[in-house]
Amino acid sequence: MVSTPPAPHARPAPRRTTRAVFSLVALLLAPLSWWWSIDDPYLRASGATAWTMLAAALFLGLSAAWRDTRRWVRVVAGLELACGVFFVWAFFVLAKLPAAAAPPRAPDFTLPDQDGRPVTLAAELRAGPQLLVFFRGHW
Amino acid sequence: MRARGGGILAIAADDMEDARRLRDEEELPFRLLSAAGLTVLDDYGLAHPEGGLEGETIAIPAELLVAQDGTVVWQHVAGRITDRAPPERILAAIEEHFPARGP
Repeated sequence: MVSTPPAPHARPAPRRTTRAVFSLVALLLAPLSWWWSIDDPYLRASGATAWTMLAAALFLGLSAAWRDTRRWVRVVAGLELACGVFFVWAFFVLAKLPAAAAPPRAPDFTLPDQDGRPVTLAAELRAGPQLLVFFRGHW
Repeated sequence: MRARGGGILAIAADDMEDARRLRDEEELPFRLLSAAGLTVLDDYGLAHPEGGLEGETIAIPAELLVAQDGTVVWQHVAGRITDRAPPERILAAIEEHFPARGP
């Protein structure tokens, strides 16, 4: 006797709408959270808040697309993967600086200050020790 | 630094216009020096060629403590563009190298 397979009954395709939407929210929060924490030197340098949000976005987005085959859910997951790759590239490649070290003695200089007045290091040092802060500039 | 008779000088490859605007906007209490087109960044080994948005040379972020005899007694040089020495580390370095005179 041959057993017949059970009649296929139509099961509704699983939906993971909430997950997919929240994954997008987390993706948006990734750069924003970094920007909001920019005054904290540790969060700024490590990008911990952004990485956490990105991980949440990837988890939610991919786990949604795993079951939910709707096109937009898959597109969202793909977008999040692409953003993840971009983040990793930006963090590990783009943000890398050439190795550098200042010389043991500070070379003297005369540079104009913000009002055009010349400032000479040697003269400033006569008054006391100086903290020199090199920065990338305005913006 | 002021309590030690010294000061803070911030250096970037900005021109004076930008330096003045930045200082006014952020209400910075120290002087911003303009190293635009000069060799100071090279002298300090802190030039980042094509580091700027338009491919120009800009400074590698760094913090240097310079003693009165001109020696660099402490330095922190960024390995990534977002690296900055945390203020408490700079203050600790100042305290270490230029201890406050007792009252």
